[in-house]
Parts: sequence; C-alpha cells; structure tokens
Amino acid sequence: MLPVATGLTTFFPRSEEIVRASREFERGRRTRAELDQLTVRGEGIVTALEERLGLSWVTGGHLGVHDLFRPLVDSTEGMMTGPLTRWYETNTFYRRPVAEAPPRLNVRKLAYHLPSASGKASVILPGPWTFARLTEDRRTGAPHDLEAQLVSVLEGAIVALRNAGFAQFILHEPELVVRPPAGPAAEQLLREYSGLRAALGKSSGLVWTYFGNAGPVLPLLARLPVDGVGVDLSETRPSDLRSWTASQELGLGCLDARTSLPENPEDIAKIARELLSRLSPRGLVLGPGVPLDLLPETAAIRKLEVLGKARMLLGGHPA
Amino acid sequence: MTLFPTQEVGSLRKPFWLVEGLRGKGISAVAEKELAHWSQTVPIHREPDPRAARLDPAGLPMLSPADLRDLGSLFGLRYLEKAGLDIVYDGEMRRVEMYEYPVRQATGFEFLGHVRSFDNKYYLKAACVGEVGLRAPYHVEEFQFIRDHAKGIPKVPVTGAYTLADWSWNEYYLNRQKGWKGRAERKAAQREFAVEIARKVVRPTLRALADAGAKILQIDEPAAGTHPDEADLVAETFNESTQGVDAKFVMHICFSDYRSLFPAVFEAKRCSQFLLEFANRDRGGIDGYEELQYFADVNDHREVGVGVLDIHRDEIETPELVAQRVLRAAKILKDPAKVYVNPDCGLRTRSLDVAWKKLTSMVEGTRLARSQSQ
Repeated sequence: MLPVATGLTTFFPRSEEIVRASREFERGRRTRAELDQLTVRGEGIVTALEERLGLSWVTGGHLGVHDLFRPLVDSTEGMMTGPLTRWYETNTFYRRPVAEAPPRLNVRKLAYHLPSASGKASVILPGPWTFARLTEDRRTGAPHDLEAQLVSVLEGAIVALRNAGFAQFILHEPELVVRPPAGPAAEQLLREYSGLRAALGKSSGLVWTYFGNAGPVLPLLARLPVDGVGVDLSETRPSDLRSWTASQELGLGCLDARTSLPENPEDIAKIARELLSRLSPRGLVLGPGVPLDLLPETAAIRKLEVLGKARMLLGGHPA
Repeated sequence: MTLFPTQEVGSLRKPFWLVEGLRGKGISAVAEKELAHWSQTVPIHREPDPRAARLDPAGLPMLSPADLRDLGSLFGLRYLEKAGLDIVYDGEMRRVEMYEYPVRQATGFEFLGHVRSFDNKYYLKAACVGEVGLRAPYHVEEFQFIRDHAKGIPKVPVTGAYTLADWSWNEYYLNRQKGWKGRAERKAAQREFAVEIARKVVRPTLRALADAGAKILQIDEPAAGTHPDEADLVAETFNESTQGVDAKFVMHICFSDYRSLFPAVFEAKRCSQFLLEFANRDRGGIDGYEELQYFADVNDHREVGVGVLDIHRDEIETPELVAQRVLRAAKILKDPAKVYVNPDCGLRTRSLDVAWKKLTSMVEGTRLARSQSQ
C-alpha cells in the first residue's frame, strides 16, 4: 500500500492568547521575554496537537516567525527587512527582504525552535526561487549572482538546522508556480537545488508550491532533486496533474486557508484515489495548501483534523 | 465649485482626550496638554452646544460617552474645516475601524478570531455563515450630526461591498457549491457573496444616508487591487450598491496596482470620481502620477481625486510641491476641472500636528495651483 503521510506543511496561526500578548508587547505592557515564553509554550501546544492528530512530523507551527523570510533575513549579514508587501492575493503582508551587501549567514542568530527531539522535527524555509525573486537587490558593486548567494545562505541554514536536530525541510516555493522560471533560469535553479540536496544529506526535502497552478511547471518540478513536491489543490485541478511523471512523493495541498470552511475528507480521498489510479508517486503527502496562518487558530485546528480523516479513508495509518 | 476642490479622504488620529475619556479612567497630562493646544486652533469649546463648554480637564469626566463621541465628531469636523478643506467629514472620530463595525450591523456573519495582517498586527475576521442581511442601515446618525453642524460640504465614507466580502470568509455561499471547492467554485461563490453584500447591506445604507440628506457618498475599496482577476467584480458591486440611490458617488482605492484594475473598474457607471493615492509613489525619481495618463488615454469623463500627501511619512509636503502635483495632474488629464485635491488616504497614522501641517500645506498649495492655472 502506498504510504500516506500527513503533516503541517505551512505555518500555523498564533493562539488568541499569543495575539493578545503580542499586542500588549507592542504597547509596552509586556516584555519580550514574557512574549517569547508564551510563544514557546504555544509551540509546545501545537506540537502536542500534531502528535495527537497522528501527523507524520511536527513543526510547532513556527509561531514566533513573522513571515517566511524573516528568520533568515534577521540572521544574515548584508540583508535587512524592507517595505511591507502584500503576500500574493491575500490581506496579509510580509517585509520584503533586501540585500544591501553580499549576504552571509550567521548561524548563531538562526532562531528556529526545535519542536521535538523525536527525529520527526520539520522546519519551513523559503525555496531558492521564491527567496531570490522576492528579495530586493540593493547591492552596489556586487556580482550579479544574488540568487547563488541566497542559495549559500539556505545551504548554511539547512546544515545548521540539520545539526540542531531537524529531520525534514519544507521549502516554500509559491513563486515557482506564480512566476515560474524558464530556459536558462530553470536550469540554473535545478543546479541550485542540487546544491541544496547535498546540504540536506539524508534529511528529507519537500518543495511546497501554492497560490498557483502547478500543472504548467510539472516537467520542472519532476526534475527537482527533492523527496516530494506539493501542489495547491485549490489552484491545481486534478486534471492539471495529468502529465505528472515524477517518482517523488506527491504532496496534495488539500486544506485551503482562503476559506474557513473545513474540507470534506471524502472529497480529498476521492481526488487522491483518482490521482493514484493514473499516477505513480513514491508516496502521498497530505497537508495544507496555502499557509494555515491565514486563519485564526480554531478554524485552523478544524481543518487540520480533516487530514487524519482523509488518511483513514485512504486506508493509511499514522506514520 | 471652485477649481481644484480640496477634500478629506478618511480617518484622522483621535485626540487623547477622546480616547482616554471613553476609557473612563481619567485624563492624562499629555491629553490635557493636547486639549489646551488644540483649543487655540480648533476652539470647539466656544461652540453653541452647551456640552462643548465642558471640554476641559474639570468638565471632561462629567461627559457621557455619547457626549464625548459628539464632541469628538465636532472636533474632527472643525479641524478639517479650519484647515481650509472644501469637502469635509469628521475624520471618522466615532469609528474604530472600517470592517468590523459594518459587519456587526449585518446578519449572517460570525466573528471567528484574529488573523495576522503582519508582524504583531492583527484584525478580527468574520465568516459568512448564513444568508447576508442587514439589521439596520448604519452611519446615519453619525451623518445627521455632521449634516447639522457642517459648514463645508460633507462627504460620507462607507466601506465598499467588495472589501467587506474580501476581508471575510465565505462559508455560506461557498458551501452551496457542490463537490471540491477549487478556484472556479471559490470565485463563483465569492461573486455571489459580494453582490449580496452590495444589495442587502451597502445599498440600503447608502439609500438611508441619501434620504438623510447626504449628497456625496465615498465608497472605500482598499481591497480592490488584491485579486487582479476580480476588477470587474469591484465595478459590479459598486453598481449594485449604488443602484437607485440619488447621490454623487466617489470610489476610493489606494496602495494598489491600478493597471490591474483598468479598464474593468471603469464599468462602475455611477462613479463620478476615482479618488486615488499617488503621492506615496511619487519619489526617488519616479513619476507617481503617470498612471493618470490612462484616464486621458481612454478619454474618461470622470473626476479624479488626486492624492498629493503621503500619509505614511511625517515629512510635510511644501505648498510648492502640492501645487506642482496638482498642475501635473491637470496637465495629464487635459482638464483642470476634473482634478480634486486630497491626501492619499486617511491621515490616521500621523499625529494631529503632522496631519494639520500637511493639510494646511495642501490647501495653500492648491491655492497656488489655482493662481498658476488662471
């Protein structure tokens, strides 16, 4: 039977308690230490939720992270946070990464919390294409290879986090399906991913795409040297995956955080069965499509609970 | 109407005496100082309303929340009038934000919790869980107060149906779509949802405001640029909202890629004026007003409310810069009569001092532009 993994492939929303505390922090009514303590406790609660739901890995939800790029930007010399920028077609914003000088990672500043020492800890990082495309280049007199320099930052982060105990890396690549590379840029990206593969070593690497239809870029996705590739099922119709030939794990982003309405697990199982009847992935991964932190905590939990039900319908068991 | 009418757009920062007064825990020294400062420039304590005479540290604790809100509204109104604006409101002194209040007046919604906007900033977001309806038209009493006190021409801002829909989750209408809820189903349900809000929430409110005497209604659509493929829905909901309502309509959009909205948004047939942000993008050698060219290219007949004040920076635009921007807009549009002058958006994020300096500079710069345009 095909292995079916389920897991949190995106950030998780902060609890109402952390929302209140972070607002109080902004108003000077709480200290940074108090907020950090609450955040770590909140990540413990999310980890417990992931374990209770039988998910295949744990993340802790990355509750302390402000946006996909911030931990890397904050720990990289030569980079700074730029203007608030709309996060694709949402009412959420991120601070655009800005490279002012050749970026150099300072691993001691990397602030990801290991959610569990169980060997099932997973961490979310930006993929190289998205990182490069959404970074503003303000370097002067620097070589024109920002993308390669950002890949070095990613490689350094992966090695450091692997050494810290993370076993799985989920690389977010919305830009790969919204504004995909073509021609030489695609070939360069494949070379960069080969470098990342080396940094990953025996750890698992999952590329997660969303906000766009993965159909047109399937040939490129199939060539990525990673363990699995995820697609946003709200943007990618099952028929768009017709030409999927890859042997990687197929990730189905089947929880849509653009709506608070919980998905029907039977719908998810039906789509998965239909896809498996004609595709031959190495395994199946079920997770949120777009980041779950577009929802409040209660709605996100309701959605996450659907994953286990869908897995059961597919005959899978907790990994 | 004079050439290049000046107008307000949205909210001002609330004075400390109003915020602290409504909290009911006494007035701080900072609030007292601010009150004394503004009583020189905007002396509402001399208004005929007997409650205004209590607007001092001794009298403030005796004012009820309703009195405070009225006086806050009066302060915002006089502040804008005294700054010299032709078209005014009250700086939205009674409002806390532009989403939650209208949604609370509607039926079929349920607030689910806070969602992060960015960093440690959040907003309370509702889901539509039933058919959309309206308890009662809103903003009407607020407008009546302004109508009875305004010396300038009042313009009422109302959050648009498209934005109310975009900032909510759509469970009820999406759930009516059968099977897997992919992009096509989501878009179809969103259209139904937004149009329902236009017909059942915004339209009755606009009608009630018009019936109460509002002559200019500004429909705020900050979400308009979020989904480029829904520009036609912005226009459709505008048309649905304004149908059968007798008033002049303005559409305010800001911090969006306008090119993604053109030409579909021009289908908003009853829109007499597009009020847009430009000053924010007019810097670093970039001509922030070049997108006005589109209006000239398509020979659109409508007025344009031209943003000449950057609301995110404390730096005060000089009257000369304002005049230059106004005249540049007039030149691009090939018709000075189409140009209205305003800040990019509400000045709520600036202090009252900075906002005052910006607005008075805008008024002076517009006078300069008028004299140079003759």
